[in-house]
Amino acid sequence: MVDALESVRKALRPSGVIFDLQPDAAHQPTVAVRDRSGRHALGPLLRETDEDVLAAHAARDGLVRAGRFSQVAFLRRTYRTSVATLAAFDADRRSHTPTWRLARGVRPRLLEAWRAGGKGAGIETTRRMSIVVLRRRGPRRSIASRSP
Amino acid sequence: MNRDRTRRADGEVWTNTSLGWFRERLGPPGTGGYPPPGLELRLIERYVPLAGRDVLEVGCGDGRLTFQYAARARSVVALDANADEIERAREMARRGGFRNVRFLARAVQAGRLPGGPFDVALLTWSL
Repeated sequence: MVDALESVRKALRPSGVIFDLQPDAAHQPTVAVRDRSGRHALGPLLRETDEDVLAAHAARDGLVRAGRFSQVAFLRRTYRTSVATLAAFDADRRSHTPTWRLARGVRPRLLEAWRAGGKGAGIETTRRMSIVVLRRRGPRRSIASRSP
Repeated sequence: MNRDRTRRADGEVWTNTSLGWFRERLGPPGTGGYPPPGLELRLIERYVPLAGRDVLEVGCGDGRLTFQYAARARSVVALDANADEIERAREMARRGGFRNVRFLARAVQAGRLPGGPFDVALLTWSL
């Protein structure tokens, strides 16, 4: 991450801006079924904290502290994704490492709501993303390099 | 450049090609685990409008985000280490007539980047 950000920094104009979009490392997703009668919240999806994302955040913060970038903003936004089948929902859960698991009791409620939803029902997952905005800063001049 | 642009009610400018691509490839908005089309750009453009900018995108995949803003950027260099994804993005760019976009299968750290310097860099769901 540090090498990537340094490479990007070199390619930016002075005062150029970086937007770092990541899944939110700590957010607990939730699942719901949406059908013609509305949205039925079912419960959380359990996940481990994403260590790779945390490491990326730490690397980026280190570059800010080192004066390579200034942090302009840190945003979080929640959003929903939707799939049309249980198989697609399970495939999505399994695409994460480690796999996202359903909290105790959520699976039976999901199956019941899904069956009751009928044709056109969708399974929604609520997720959160983060966006960090960084502005390039010039190289710090050491005291030794300054003109007398 | 694309002549078949449309402006949505919320002010987002899309090409017919990219709209069709999203419908065909990703299904309804919000599928695939990524935010629905438009959300990321609305947040980004609160800070820097991408119109007329030279943009570097790192981790572009098959151009999911790229094609949402490419029509209004001045130039785009979009990178991903996955050569198959980049080939799909190139094919889409050809079909859509995006002449201002270069998709490159490489890591950002792998030497000097062509097309710079850039006004904006987007690190899109890449670590």
